[in-house]
Amino acid sequence: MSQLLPFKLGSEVYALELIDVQEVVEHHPTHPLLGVSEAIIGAIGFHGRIVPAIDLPLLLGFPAGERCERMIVLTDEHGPVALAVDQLLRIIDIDLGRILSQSNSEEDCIRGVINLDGKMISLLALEQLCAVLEQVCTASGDTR
Amino acid sequence: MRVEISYKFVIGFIVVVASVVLLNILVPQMQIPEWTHQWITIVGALLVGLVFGWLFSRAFTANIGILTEGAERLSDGDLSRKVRLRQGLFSDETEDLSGSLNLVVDSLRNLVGQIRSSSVKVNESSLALAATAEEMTATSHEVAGSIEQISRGAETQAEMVERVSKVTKEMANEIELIALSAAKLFQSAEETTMTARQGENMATTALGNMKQVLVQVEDNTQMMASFSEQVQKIGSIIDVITNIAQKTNLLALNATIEAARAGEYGHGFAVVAEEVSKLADSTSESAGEITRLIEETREQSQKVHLSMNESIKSIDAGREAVDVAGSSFVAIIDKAETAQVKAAEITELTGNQQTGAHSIVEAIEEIASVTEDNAASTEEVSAATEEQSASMEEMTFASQRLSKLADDLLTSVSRFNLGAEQSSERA
Amino acid sequence: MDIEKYRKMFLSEAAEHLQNMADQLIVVEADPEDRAGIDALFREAHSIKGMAATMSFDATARLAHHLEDRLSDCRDQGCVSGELIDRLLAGVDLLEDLLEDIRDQQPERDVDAFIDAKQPIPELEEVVVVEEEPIAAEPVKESLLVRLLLADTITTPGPRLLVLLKHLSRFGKILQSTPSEEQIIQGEVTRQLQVRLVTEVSAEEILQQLQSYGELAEVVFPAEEPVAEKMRKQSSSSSATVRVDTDLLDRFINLTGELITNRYTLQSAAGEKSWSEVNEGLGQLARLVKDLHHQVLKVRMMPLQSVTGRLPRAVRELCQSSGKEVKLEVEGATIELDRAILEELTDPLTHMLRNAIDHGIEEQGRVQIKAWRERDQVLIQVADDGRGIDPEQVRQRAVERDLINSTQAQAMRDYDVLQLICQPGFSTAEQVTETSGRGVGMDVVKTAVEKLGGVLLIDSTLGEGARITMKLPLSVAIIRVLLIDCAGSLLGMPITRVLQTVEVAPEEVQTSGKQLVISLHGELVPLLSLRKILQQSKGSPKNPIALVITEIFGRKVGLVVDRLLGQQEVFVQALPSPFDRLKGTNGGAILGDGRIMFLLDLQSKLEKRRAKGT
Repeated sequence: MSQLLPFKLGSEVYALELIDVQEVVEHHPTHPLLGVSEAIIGAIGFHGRIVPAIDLPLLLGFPAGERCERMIVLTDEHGPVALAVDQLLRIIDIDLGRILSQSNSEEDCIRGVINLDGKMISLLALEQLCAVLEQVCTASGDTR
Repeated sequence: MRVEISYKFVIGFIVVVASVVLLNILVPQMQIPEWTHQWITIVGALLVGLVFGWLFSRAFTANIGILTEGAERLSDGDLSRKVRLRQGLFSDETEDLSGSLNLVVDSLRNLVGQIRSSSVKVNESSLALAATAEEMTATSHEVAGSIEQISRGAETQAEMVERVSKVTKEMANEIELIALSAAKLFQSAEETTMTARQGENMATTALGNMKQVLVQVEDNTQMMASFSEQVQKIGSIIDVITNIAQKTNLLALNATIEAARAGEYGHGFAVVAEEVSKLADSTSESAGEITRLIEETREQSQKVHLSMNESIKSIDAGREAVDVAGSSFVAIIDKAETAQVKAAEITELTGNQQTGAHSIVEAIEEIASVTEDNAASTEEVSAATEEQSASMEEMTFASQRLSKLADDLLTSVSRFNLGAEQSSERA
Repeated sequence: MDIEKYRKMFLSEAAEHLQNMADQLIVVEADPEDRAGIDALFREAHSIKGMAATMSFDATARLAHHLEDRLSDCRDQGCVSGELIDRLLAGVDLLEDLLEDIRDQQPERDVDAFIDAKQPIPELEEVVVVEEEPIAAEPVKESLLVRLLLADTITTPGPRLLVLLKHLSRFGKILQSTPSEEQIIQGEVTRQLQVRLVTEVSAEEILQQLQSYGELAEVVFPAEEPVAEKMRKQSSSSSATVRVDTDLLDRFINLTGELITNRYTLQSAAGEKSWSEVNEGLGQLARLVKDLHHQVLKVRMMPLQSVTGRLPRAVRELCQSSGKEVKLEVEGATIELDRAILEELTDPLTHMLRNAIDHGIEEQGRVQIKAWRERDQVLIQVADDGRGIDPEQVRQRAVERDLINSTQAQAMRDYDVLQLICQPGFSTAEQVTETSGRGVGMDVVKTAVEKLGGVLLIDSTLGEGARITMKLPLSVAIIRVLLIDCAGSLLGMPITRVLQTVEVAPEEVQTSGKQLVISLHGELVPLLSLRKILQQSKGSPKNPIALVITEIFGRKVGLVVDRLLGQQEVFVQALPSPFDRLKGTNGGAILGDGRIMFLLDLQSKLEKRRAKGT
């Protein structure tokens, strides 16, 4: 049994394993960074450290919009990075064995899908996410 | 020097004698031969005597001649000249004589003069009298004529007086009417004033009431305002609570995250975190409900506020109206009082006028009566004049006679010649 | 978790021991009869063996044991042969590799081959030590790093990458690929493939051949980066632990105590709303924080020795490979520097050493490394008594390489000409040796030095030698920056990079050719728009225009910014992943008011553009 933190990107529900989450922060002012893709909002100050702030929906191809005031800060393993999402949902306990499929489309950065009472929750693949981020950063400034 | 004639004779003689003597004295003194002394003396004496005599006689004779002349004249009736003797050195009785003669002349003259003047006067007077009588006659004719005129005029006057009297009476009536109206006006003005005062009082009372109401409404508004404030305070506290609930929620979330990382050691903690989260949620809900209630309350109080505002507006409008009414009343009172005053004035004036009219009427009536008297008097006057006229005739006649008499006198005295003085007296 | 802790401990201690061994070997080589030295060597090997055995790192233990045996023999003999030194050094290298494996949680590599072999292992796949050029089996062939990026339109990159990988393998031998073939087959892929290739085929040819693949968005041949990255990782991980004076620790405890007291003071003062007391408390806090900072910095300070200590060995190897005789003198190695700086110095020092030995010194010579402190800076000088650098040659080469035109070449002073050798792609070496001459040496040095906020000075006298001096700030953590506002983002430029700030009226801007320039002290300085570089829209025209005069690729430029916001001392932190991939920003800082400032590294940003351009 492990716990997941689900959140909404657009109309779809995604989730992260709580183990990978360091903290959820609220109302942190983001400081813009120039010359990078729109998916990168900038950086936030997190316990005295500079942590990149990512617009997750935008990164994964969802339309631009107002994101939730709360950001999910991943553990140091994964950056750390702060992810802005559309809406945070309540933590759920889940049996990871229920992950339906391990789809490997790096487009979506999805590690698997869980069916919870008819709702489809996509589990976020963090390594892919980080790789995509690195790519985006490396590519920054080139494509435009 | 008066020397009587006798004396003059004496003197003459003396003189001659003296002269002889003197010559006798003198001649010797002269260096003339002595022989001649006597001659001279005699001659001289003779001369002197001659001369003196000559002189004296001449004068004397002249004077006597004059005197005679004068007396002759006098007999002629020529009183024009006085006897004037030759002036000589020594006057004498001839002088007296001339004097007396002159006196006579003078007296005669005076007398004649007087008679003349008197008669002239009489003539004149009688003429004057006659003239006067004629005049008077004329005048009395005139008077008669005037009297007629007067009596005629008096008639007209009487008519006019009648008219005037009538008019004046009418006027007096009208004035009375005016006075009446004025009195009525005064009355109604008085009533109006009273009513207006009443109205003013009511307006004041009404205003007072409205003010009270307004004060109350204001109190209410203030209470509403403070109530609103309280509600707002509650609102902000609720905001704080909501905020805290949110933060608590976040903390609970993070706590769960930490618990997850703590692995098995974190289970108990996770449960607690879950409870905290639920608690925060219910707090949020309650806070939300309170907020909703606050909203509703606010809406209600807003409505109340609005209606109160409406009330205030109505009251304000009412107050304005009352104010306007009040001031209208005041204006009315003012005007009514003025009207009253004016009415009083009018009454007074009409009173005066009435009195005046009465006086006129009286005067007119007096005139009328006077006119009547006048008419009567003129009748009498007319009669009197007639009598006077007759008397005048008589007088005229009498004066004529007198005049004639005077003429006669004059004629008789006309003989006398008064000379220049006469003519001057006459003139 | 416990295992992790012990592993870390083991790694750091073992690394230290190995380092000591390496140093000691050099010392002993100089004096083969040094008994004490040999003893020391023995003890080190013994320690390593013991630790590895305890931790059940068998291969490591076995190797250490093997070395220990050899040393024991030497002890008995009383001397060490040169050959043995080599072998022992090789053994130390292998031990380091093993430590690497352990760190990466990979299975320990095979040591038997080494133990059995009598020769020093000639082939090492990757270099783990200070040198960053891999010592390949066939020295002549290049090891090339290829990075491929697939187009966004690709939905299934996996198979494509596999194909590409196969293709690449046709060019030569694939030393390493990220992701590896297995990973690609497993499907754990992104759009990117990075391959280290040993090939005789030139990069251009590879590029040409790969052109046929329509779905390739990008093909790059980054030379330094991945190794440097590896380098960085290694050096940062090698210094994951540190020795601290107990005195210092005591002082920390005291400071912490005082801080706690201060906290209570402030709390009660604030509670009573007694502001004067709060101010007092804050003053105290400021003092304590400063103290703490000072102490922590001290902990971070390490002697230069920790870097220069490896150099003798490098020199030794260079001598061997180049056949020259070079003596290394290190002076002032006790000077203490911030470890972050030290980490960055290993590359540059090695480069410079290599250059000196390869190009400077002819047959015989001396390389002197001197370090000394001047006020708030540390100067490290690498001087050789060799040929020196010929400005004329540099000029020629620069013109050849299209770095400057001939008129500029004429106009430049010798001093400035020498700076040109730091341009990437520059190399006057006729022959590309295994060790250097690839023209990538000095620009790395310059970049590294400037990254640290320092300055590189090159001086040379023909026939007498060359002197390259690095002027470095004492601390890289706290630097003074010029704050710049550009399109709403807060940027900072290290003051050391700023030649001048100036405000000019728009009328003063002239055009020279297609370039906007201004006249400054009689010089025409070209203008660059920061907004344009950062791909922002044009801002509203400003009057006056704010310019930052700085040096890029050896030339003066005027950077047009939106606003100059003054100077500040900031505590710079490295940007975490993925920001560390960003070109143009090599750090950030959180200012006192909470705003985040990004450090602007103009040169690398433009470099990228340039590279793309070419």
